[in-house]
Amino acid sequence: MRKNASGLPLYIIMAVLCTAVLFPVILAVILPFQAQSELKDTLSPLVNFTGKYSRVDLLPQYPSTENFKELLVYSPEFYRVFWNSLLMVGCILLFQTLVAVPAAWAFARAEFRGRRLLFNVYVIFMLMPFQVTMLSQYLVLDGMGLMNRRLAVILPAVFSAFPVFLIYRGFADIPRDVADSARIDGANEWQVLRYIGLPLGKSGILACVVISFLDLWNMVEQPLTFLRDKTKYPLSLYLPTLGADRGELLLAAAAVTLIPAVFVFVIGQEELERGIIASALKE
Amino acid sequence: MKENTKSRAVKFFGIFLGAMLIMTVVSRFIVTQKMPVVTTVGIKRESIAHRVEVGGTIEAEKQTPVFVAEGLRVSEVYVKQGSKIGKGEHLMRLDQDYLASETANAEKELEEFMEKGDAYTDGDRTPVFTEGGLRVLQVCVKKGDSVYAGQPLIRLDTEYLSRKINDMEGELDSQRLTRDGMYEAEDSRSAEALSNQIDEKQRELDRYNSIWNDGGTVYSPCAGVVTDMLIKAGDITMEQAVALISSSPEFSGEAERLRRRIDGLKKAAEHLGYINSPAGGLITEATVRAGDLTSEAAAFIISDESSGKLFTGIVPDEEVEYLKVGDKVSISVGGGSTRAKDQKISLMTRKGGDGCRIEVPVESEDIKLGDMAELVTTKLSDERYDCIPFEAVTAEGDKGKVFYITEAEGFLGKEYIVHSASLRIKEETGNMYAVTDLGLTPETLIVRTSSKKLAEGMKVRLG
Amino acid sequence: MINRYDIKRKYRYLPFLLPSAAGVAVFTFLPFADSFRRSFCAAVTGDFVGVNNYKAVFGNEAFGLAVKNTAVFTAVCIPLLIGISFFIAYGLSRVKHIRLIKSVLLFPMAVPTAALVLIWQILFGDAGWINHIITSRGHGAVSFLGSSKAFWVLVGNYIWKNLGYTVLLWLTGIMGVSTSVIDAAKVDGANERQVLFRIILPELKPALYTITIISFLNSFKVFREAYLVAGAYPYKSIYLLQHLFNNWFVNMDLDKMAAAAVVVFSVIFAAAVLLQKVWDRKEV
Repeated sequence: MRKNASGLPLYIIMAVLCTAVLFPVILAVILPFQAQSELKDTLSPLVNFTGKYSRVDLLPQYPSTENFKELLVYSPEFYRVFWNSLLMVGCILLFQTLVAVPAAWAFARAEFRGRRLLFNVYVIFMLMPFQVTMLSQYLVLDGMGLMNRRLAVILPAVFSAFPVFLIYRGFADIPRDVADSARIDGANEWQVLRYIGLPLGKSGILACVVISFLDLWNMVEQPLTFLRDKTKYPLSLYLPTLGADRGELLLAAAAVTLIPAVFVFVIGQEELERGIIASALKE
Repeated sequence: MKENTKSRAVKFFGIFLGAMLIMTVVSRFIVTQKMPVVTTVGIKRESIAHRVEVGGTIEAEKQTPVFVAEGLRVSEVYVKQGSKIGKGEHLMRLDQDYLASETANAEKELEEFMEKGDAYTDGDRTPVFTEGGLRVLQVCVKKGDSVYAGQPLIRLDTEYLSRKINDMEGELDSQRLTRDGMYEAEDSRSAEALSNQIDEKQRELDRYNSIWNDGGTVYSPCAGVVTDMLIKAGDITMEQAVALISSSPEFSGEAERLRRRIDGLKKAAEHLGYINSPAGGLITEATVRAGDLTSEAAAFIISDESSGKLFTGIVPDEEVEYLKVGDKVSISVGGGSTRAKDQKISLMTRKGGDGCRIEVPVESEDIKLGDMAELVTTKLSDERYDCIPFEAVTAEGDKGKVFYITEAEGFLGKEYIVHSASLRIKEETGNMYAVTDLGLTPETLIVRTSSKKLAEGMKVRLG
Repeated sequence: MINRYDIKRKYRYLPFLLPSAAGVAVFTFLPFADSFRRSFCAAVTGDFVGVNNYKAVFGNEAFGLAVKNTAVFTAVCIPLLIGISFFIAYGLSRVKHIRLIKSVLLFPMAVPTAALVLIWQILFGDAGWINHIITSRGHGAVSFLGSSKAFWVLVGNYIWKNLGYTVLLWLTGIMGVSTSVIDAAKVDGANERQVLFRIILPELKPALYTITIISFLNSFKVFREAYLVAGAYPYKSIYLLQHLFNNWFVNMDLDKMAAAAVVVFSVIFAAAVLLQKVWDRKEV
């Protein structure tokens, strides 16, 4: 009954809204397919403003793949940063999950005095912007001799508080009796986690993985601060180094950067939604 | 349905990643193929070695040239280049007969010359005048004659003269009568004009009369030599001078030369035609041969061996900057077979015209007077120039271009980028160009060879 | 027996917690404690200087500006986001076939920031496309990024990114209100408005709490956009705390950074505790 068919004006509004929301992304996908001569009108005012403003052709007059060719065939450094990103994100996700799942399980299941306090500490640190802890992390990493190594980016992210928070939500769902009954049946805690916790909390874990991936694929401040060799840069740092003066390449690279994010989004959208919902409903 | 999309998405993602993996390798291959491979070389900063070679001869420090009057035939030459001679010894003998005839010729020439009066300078020439309109009967002197003051020069035709006088008297009388008539007619103006005419005519008559009294002779007004006789018998005298007398004759340069030549010839004749050496030493030049006619140049050059050997030559203008007095140079003879090293330049003076005369005293046993020798030295420029091998430079005239590489940190590691720079070629030394105007630091690496054509901004690999 | 069991029970979970807790301690907690110590010392020499750094920080103009901007930004964008997303979610709750719309709205969250930087510059730059459209209509060019309008550009960007999941959260909350209660109310004669305000809204309190927390968290993430598009020293209306920290870091003003970090931490801590008390919620 809530779902009336009175929707037509609403639909139109929604359609407009959706187009507006998607517009930048559409632009990001179309522009790289334009020939360089067309893109000149769009890009050169940004580099060298001579009174002419940027023009954008929504429908390319001369569609061509030359930008992608320039990027994918003639720029091997692109692959370097691409695999850097993938490697770093993959490592982080893997170990992050390995570390966060037991911790979240412990928070969900255990009852000890410091639990609330510890959890609150986690939450507080989770809320801090990177810049606040940036200094302290720098000092620690420098002391460990990890500066300018990829580990400097990977390690702090692995031990981040955010995934613990998200996965905890997923575990907190599970009714206590189910776990307890398994314990009574003689399983130790690890087995409970493995056979009961994981399947039931799967959506939470997957949601966390998806959200983390999208966040990490995007990561800019940490590599910028902790890495110095350009050979170790992730894709998200490669893009800013190309300015508007190499705009064609940048547009093509940006479009290619979108692809894995889109893939992950499509694959994990359901889990994502569920995870978000779970965190809301928990209360 | 949703599962389907998801699994399809997973599959596509996998394909995507696989494609990226393949392209990683492929793109590296392609770009490596396209990248030119270069070899590099550093910039050497060196002084340019400039080789200076100047040809010349070995002379003695002290040498005496022997000159002989020209135009005489040589009958015998007793010495040749390289022979030693003592003071007063015979060098050569002139053909005596030829000598005698030449002397006679010269004397005759002098005489004729004197006669022509060209022997005398323009100086003071006194003109001789006489009345015009008289016929010359006889000319008593000719050009070149010496005359005394009052000597008759020209005799005039007296009969002609007397007739003329009579005519003039008659004219005068009638003119006088006319004048009287005018006075009576009280035409004083015309009478006055006529009076003037009559006076003039009377004066002319007086002059003619004086000539008549002199017997119709024109006498020389001073002592001297007749340089010009401007009239001849039968002519009618005119306003201009009839003769010119020179009262202070002097000899001209020409006459002087002739006189000296005659003296030289006579002296040679005294020595029976022998020319003797004025000094002892080595004959370093002997330009006459038996049978030749002598010329103006020195017939012999006698060098005093003990005075020391000297290399002399002319340095061309463009090489002059590399040499200066006090430099140590190497003098070599016979294409380098004999060499005296480290000889110091003692003199450099500008001759008129091109080049600079250079003298280098030579101390060497092996080098002899008269040898043709070469001054060789390699001068290192004071300034140091950037030197780049030939193959690294594309040269056009005196300008050139090179490529150099800069290092950059790229995403794949170290990258090398080429840039273009222009320069000015100063000189070639060895197998390199010495250049200027190249604004690069000394550690810059210059591209020597490249496997492909280079352009500014290209990335390259080091080979 | 039970005691031992209880004791054992308590410490059973320790190994679970240990890796994470240890990591967090090493990389986050302890360094921060060290920062706390440093905030009382000079940067170079390490001498104890009391509250000098704090004084320096509070007296620093840039700090004041950054705090003001960040606070204003948060105060503006969170309510804006919450409000807009609620309206959209309410509208969506009335129609069918919202799957696609949901996906579309959610999508910006997935888009990497760096990928769109050039697009933002093309659109909003001083020489950008929007200016082109404006000037060709005869108006003067607007400097979106170089004037106070930059603030609104940033707010717009924030809303654009976070609309999706906020709508989702509201939607879930709204959908979660049991239909039977609503039907009963309708039978009693309640109109739409009354249903909305009396029944639905109260049920959404928990959702609101979560949304607020996460929106607050994400409001800091805007820095990335601002930094990539407008640089380290942007127009003053969008000069945020993170810009300040970043610049201090680059200039190695470590003592000021430590003091400021402690200050910011305290503020956020206080805010979180306050929020908890206000909503009277226990975290766990």
